[in-house]
Amino acid sequence: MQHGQRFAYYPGRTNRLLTAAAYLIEKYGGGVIWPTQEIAGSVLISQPAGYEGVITGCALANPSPVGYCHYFDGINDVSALYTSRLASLFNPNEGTLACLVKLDSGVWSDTVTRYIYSLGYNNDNRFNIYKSSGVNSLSFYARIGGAIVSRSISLATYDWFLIACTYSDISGLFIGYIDGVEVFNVAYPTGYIGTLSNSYSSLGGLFPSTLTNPFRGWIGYPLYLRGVLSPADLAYYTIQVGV
Amino acid sequence: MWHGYIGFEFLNVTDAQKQAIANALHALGPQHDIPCHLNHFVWDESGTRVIFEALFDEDTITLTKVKHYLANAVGINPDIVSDNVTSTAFGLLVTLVVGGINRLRFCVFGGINSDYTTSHSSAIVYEELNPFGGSIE
Repeated sequence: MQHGQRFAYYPGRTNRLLTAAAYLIEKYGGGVIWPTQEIAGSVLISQPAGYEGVITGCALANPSPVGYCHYFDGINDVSALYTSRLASLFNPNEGTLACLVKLDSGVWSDTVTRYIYSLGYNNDNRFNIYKSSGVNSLSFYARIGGAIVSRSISLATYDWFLIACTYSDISGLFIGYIDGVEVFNVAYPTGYIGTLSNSYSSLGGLFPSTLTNPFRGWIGYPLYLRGVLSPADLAYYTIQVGV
Repeated sequence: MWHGYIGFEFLNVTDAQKQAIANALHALGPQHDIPCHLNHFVWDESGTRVIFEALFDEDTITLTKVKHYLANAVGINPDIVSDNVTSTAFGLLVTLVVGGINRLRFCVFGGINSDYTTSHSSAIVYEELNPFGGSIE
């Protein structure tokens, strides 16, 4: 099926975003976007199909620049991303994580760590994007074979923004972006062990044993790519998102 | 039906009793296709506190019913479960007592007649005053 047919159901800017994501997924050797403009029972739908996650508690609410997103209540909401198929797709050597985010009122200063988007295998091998416990602080965190690469940036907006980060043990770089603008660029090691696991692959919180650090706010259209998204293509994607 | 949050703190019950009570609470809330209406919950790291959210039938989360959950779990007559009620920043906090010992506390965040936003805000206040902790940073 052509992408235009697959995504023809979605109106306006949502269609543009999903079409752009489909283009990037093809260009970068595979990937997944989880459209959040509808909730099908507890199923977190995926494009392409076959990478469906599980929604716990989230409500459909508050239109983002590209349509409805999922609201996480900061108490007991989380969405599981892990499937064995996603673990097979996951590229531990290089890739891209991106999603739209909007924090609920007061969250930047609540001094609570709140996880937004995570992919990982275990405590020593994982990627986390989270609002850290410091005031007005957003963190990008990679733990590669136990070695930690982490950067926090100052951010205080209560508007929507687009988070993206890329990692590559080929170029040896871990790069973060907000709304398509690079906010850090640091050395990235080799040595990620494993693929993904259910305990470390989620939206809006982590559940290694029990749910911890739940996010409070809105998350939309998380994207995973098997390759390193170029600044030019990220700029194109950012325009489609409309932040 | 009422969409909101209820919280429990287990004070002096065995693990088996706690699990029996939790199982009874897990079963509350009707089946529904909206995730936020389905019964879901979070435990704190110590395993002594839990917050549930669901679209509850108000009749299932009354003080009398919660007394029955506790009584069934510990194998006693519900009539000998007494209660103490205190007012807090997040709603009325009810302590259930058996044999002179505080067994558990529970709170319907925002109160049973509150709207969802009020219950959510009250649960957030509770969580901020009594952090559930948890960090793997």
